[in-house]
Amino acid sequence: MSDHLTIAVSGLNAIDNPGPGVPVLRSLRESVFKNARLVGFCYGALEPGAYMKDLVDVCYQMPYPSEGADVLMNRLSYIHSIDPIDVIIPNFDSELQPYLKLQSRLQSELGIRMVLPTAEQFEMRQKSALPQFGEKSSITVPQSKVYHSLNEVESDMKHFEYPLVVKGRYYDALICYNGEQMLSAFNKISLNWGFPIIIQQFVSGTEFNLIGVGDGHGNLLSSVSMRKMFITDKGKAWAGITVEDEALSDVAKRFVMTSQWRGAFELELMKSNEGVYHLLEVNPRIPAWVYLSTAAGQNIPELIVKMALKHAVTPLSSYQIGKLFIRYSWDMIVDYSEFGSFSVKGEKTNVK
Amino acid sequence: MKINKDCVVNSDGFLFNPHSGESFSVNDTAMDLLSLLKDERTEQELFEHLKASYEVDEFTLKADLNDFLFLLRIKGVVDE
Repeated sequence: MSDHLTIAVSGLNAIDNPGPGVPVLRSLRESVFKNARLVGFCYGALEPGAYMKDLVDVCYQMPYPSEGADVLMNRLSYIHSIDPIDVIIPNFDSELQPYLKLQSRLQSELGIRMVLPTAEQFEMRQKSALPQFGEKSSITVPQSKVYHSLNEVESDMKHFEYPLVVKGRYYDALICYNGEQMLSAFNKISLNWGFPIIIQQFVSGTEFNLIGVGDGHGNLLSSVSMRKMFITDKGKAWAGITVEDEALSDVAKRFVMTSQWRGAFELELMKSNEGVYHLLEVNPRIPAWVYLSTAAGQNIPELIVKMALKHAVTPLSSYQIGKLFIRYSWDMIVDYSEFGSFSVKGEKTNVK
Repeated sequence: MKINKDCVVNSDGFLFNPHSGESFSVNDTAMDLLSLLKDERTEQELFEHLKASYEVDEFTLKADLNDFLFLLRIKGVVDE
């Protein structure tokens, strides 16, 4: 089935907030598409996934999403001319907008397929729009307000109750216990990621994440829940365990039913001490812990490729409970010539 | 009360609740109680079992048993 298939995957970085690319590639190597030609899309020559020869056949450096859809289209057209691609799995939130713009052109002009949510679905789960989505879907979402300037937040400060969470539009979230910390976090995040900034009610409890796939018609094709067991200072799970909770699955079903979501997503939830799940964020893509779902019995990257190729898919209904992932870092040793060649040429073929 | 059918206790005293993802290490006395709770038991039955098995005064036993059962309840390990 997969001998002549070429699948491109982005997000091959593996810092302390790792991209999902490497575990997506690992899942594909263990799927029915294990013999496919796997292509890595990188934003720099130091992304470790590019050097993982068992996972990646060839890598290309890509323009940053901020350079726009036209620059991306030119680069993809060039890559496709020498390495015809069948499916792309973009793995960064910031990539989705240019890929959404190019989706129909990529399919009609180059025959490249993707499984993405619609632009409307992408917008409805933005952090700034989440409270409205929560009301519509009967999912509990912490109270939050969107701010577009420092003046706005300063005039609201007397109404704040602490602790609260200051969040960037796409990335970053800081818990603040007083006004001074809040202003500092507001400035730091707005400097790094721009406006708007979201100020959200803090909910204490236990963190759970859920990875899922929607079929675009309100049905859940896959869902695996994980309790975070070890959390880094950036709030990222460094260890987690698969769990099964009907209340958690119900949140995913309501999310997919209300949004008619198409493709992969991740729900970040806090289970309060009263036992209520609060939806903190919806990520419109595969998360970095996806290999746990593969190991537990639901290979979501395989499912996404099948959907892209219009293969018949059946909902994945069960998975093993009590499977843990424990993340670690690993120093790869690479000759300077390999790094230098990738840096200069922007392309790299891996010989196993 | 009875132990939640999905909770797992292995022979090393490792208890895992698959719904919450929480895990606990339990001592031999707790293991003894959890094995009894595989079948439906009343608090009085548990109390009588412990009284017959351990040298302990009733006041201490009652207090310790209450504490332990409270923990099992709030952690969702037992169904009433």
